[in-house]
Amino acid sequence: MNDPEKVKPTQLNKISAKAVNAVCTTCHNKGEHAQWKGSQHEARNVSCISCHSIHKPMSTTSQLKAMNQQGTCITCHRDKVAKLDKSGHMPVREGKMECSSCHNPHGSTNVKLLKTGNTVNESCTSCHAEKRGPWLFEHAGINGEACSTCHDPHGSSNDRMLVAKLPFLCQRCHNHMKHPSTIYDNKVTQSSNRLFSRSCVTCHSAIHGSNHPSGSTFLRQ
Amino acid sequence: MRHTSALTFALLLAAAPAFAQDPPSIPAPTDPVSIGRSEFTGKWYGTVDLGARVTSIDGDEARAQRYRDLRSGVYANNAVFGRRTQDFAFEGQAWNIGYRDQRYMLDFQKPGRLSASFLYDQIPLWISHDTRTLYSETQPGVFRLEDSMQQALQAKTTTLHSYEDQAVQFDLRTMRKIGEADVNFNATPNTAITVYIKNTNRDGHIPYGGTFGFSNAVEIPMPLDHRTTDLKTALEWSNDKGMLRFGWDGSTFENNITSIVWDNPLVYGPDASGAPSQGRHSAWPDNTLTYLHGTGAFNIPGNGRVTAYAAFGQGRNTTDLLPHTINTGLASPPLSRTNAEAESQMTIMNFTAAMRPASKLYLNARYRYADVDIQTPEFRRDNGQVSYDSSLKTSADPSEYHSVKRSTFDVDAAFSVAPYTSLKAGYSQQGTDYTHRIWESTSEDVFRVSLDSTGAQRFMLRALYENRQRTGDGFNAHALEAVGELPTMRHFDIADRDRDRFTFIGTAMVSSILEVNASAGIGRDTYSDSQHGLQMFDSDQYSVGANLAPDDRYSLTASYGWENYKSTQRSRNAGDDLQFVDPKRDWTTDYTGKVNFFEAGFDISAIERTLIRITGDWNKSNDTYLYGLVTGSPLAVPEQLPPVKNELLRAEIDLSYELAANLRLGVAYWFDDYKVEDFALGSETISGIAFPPVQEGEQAPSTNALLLGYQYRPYTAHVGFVRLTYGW
Repeated sequence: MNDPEKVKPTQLNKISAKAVNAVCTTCHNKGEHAQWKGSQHEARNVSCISCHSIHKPMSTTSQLKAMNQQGTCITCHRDKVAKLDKSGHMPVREGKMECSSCHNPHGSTNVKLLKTGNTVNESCTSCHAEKRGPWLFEHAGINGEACSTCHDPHGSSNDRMLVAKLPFLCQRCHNHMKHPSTIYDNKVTQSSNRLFSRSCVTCHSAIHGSNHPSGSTFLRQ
Repeated sequence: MRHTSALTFALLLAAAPAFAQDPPSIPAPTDPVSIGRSEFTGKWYGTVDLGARVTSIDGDEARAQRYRDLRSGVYANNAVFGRRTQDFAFEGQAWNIGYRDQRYMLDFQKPGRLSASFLYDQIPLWISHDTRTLYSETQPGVFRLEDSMQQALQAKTTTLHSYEDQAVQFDLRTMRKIGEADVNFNATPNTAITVYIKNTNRDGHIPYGGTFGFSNAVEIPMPLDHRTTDLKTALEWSNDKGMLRFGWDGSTFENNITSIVWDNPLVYGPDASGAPSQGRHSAWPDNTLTYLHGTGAFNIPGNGRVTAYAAFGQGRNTTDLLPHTINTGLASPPLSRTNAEAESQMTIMNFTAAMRPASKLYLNARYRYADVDIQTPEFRRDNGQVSYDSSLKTSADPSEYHSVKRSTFDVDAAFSVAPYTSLKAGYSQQGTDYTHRIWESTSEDVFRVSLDSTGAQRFMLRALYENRQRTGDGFNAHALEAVGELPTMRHFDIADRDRDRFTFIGTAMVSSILEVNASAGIGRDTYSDSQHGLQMFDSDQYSVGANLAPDDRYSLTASYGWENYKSTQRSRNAGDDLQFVDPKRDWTTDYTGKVNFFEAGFDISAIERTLIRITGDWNKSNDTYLYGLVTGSPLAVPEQLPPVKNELLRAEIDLSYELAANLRLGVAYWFDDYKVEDFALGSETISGIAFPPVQEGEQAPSTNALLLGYQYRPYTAHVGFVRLTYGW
């Protein structure tokens, strides 16, 4: 029988990441931890104690080494956490959301470690269900694809968290004759409704998709 | 036994939903009063902050409180109450009680048997205090103007500018109310049943376009009154060799407002072609999304595991369609069907195999299949359509749907080249089939190599290089011709693209009290086949930082980062077919973005019974969009747009003093300063609700826009707190 005097406890900070993970996943292998093996973090040698502390957690929940999730994730994802301070942002710095509101760092069946749904769109529309569709008229590149084509979910300096300001974002794909391919310069900032305020979506307001029989160009929803 | 139970509780609570991040409407105590949470005596324990807040905001008070409620007044926050025994743990928490951003949570745990939690959360979104409107919402979704105003504008005896002063101020805001419950029941030690239900109500108003034509842009306060209900159920069986899980997820979206009707400011009536007196939108349609899914996993030799996941889903929108127009002066074309009959079917499959065939070798393979198949029948419009409720086209194209089918294969091999250090090489192949896009399919090859050195006491290093090459196949020229696009346009989300990415993160313990860190992220995207559209996108992100903790009494963290972004896109300005084929009419937009940010925190516990925390962060971005013309261009030289700037500075100081073991006095001060310059939404551009604005001394021109006045404005906020934290 093992003599307790002679059995040394495992020191997790002295063994490899894989060995640490094997200890923790003895119990934590169900539910939100079920997809850990083969997940992005596991494959990059992230160990449970990279983020969690058993004996001296700083957070009030989840036994994190940092005071909150942003403080944990910023260790490796500094650029994403920095975006939270931009003017267009989700309510993370206000405490209404955190990284795990969208992501499961332990592994997921969705892409990008998203914890809800099976595509990027299904993750976003789990909260923004009014944009889920399916639609009578679809906007190519959005439905069935990714909201992240146009929006930066972590934060952006542009209104509505767009990856580029309007009208430039729309002009990346729409070049046809007349107003889509017009140069909207400083002479028209106060006179062209294609530039000021909501720009293109002042008219094309049903931009995510339309359920209107005349909605093929998203002028009506 | 007690210690085992305590550890079990701690581990279980660690697995509970992480609701309990302190929302910063009110400062989190830096020094929680000792409470009986670690005891299992069955006694009730708790803690609560009782305090008062004084807030002063100069400038855009809506943006300062965008997702939070900082109103002056007394408050109760961070309230915790609970009870623990050897058999169960129960805890309730409450934040910002009575304020717009209040939140409540209950959690019950019976280790090994049952865990249940309940959350109620309110998320306010205050968009603008500057908004004004001439519309009256006479009933939900119906917006009317004064008849006399419409008549005068139609007769051109006055302009909208003369009515500016009559516009009524209102707060443009929404409220999201979320209630969710999560129950996990272990029917046996190996079997768990989970039920999750969430209900989200959202109401309020958002800015929305309700335009009547190129020269008649209108912004209305779109009303929101909708609900999303989600139900997820699953049965999971697991042991130390594997697991099986089956589940059903369902979600419904219901909109209590089915259509929006609003007056045309420039037309009173009677309705005529080109002159509708009112417009009509349908509101967002009701929809459902359901999934049946199953997961299986089992351990394999070599410390490995194989996981398989399959999900079959359906999305539906069976909302009745509105007629083409509300304009009684037009013969609304008959509908080819009266219901959207919109449907999507999804098939998702994931297979993962991870194994360690040798002590220094780790292999990982993944296959993912995702098929989003839009099954909506084509909606024919052989009798035409109506644009803006204004102009009738006697024929129009039918609808087209964009199904996507994607297969992704990934394989990685990691080698332990040194203690705690692995070198990994990987390859991915992603193939995607599209319908009605410019490519019938795309194929993307990804090569990556990474180095991860972790576990060493003194340093950590992670570096990754990735090269992605995407090419399209089966060019579909019709997808561009049908919408009048240039044949050389390539849509950047599926265009041929070469991408290189390099990321680096490093941390080093320089001494026992000082840690330094650095990170870098460099990305280069080139769209070599895109003669028009997005041509290139570069991103560079860097940061350096340090953590200094000379002893338990002081700690200092600081980091500085800078980011640079560049992109180029190309277009062609054309008003007729001849101009459409003239390459000299090409023009470009060069975007440059620069971001600088700094954050620091200083904790001091050197003074007896006192904790001091000082934090600050600063974020500044500067975006420029520069137009360029080709040599010999016939286009007028554009007047360049001013840069778009955002700058946010936040500083907080929190001081708490221990009056007694279970009583602390705290004072805090927050400072927020936001600056913004925006050529589209800044206050220099949005100076009223009727556009273009009238210059002093000029006669008011014919108006071409009636807006809400939503604009970006700077603000400075000072918030002071005093609180007592009591625990029992």
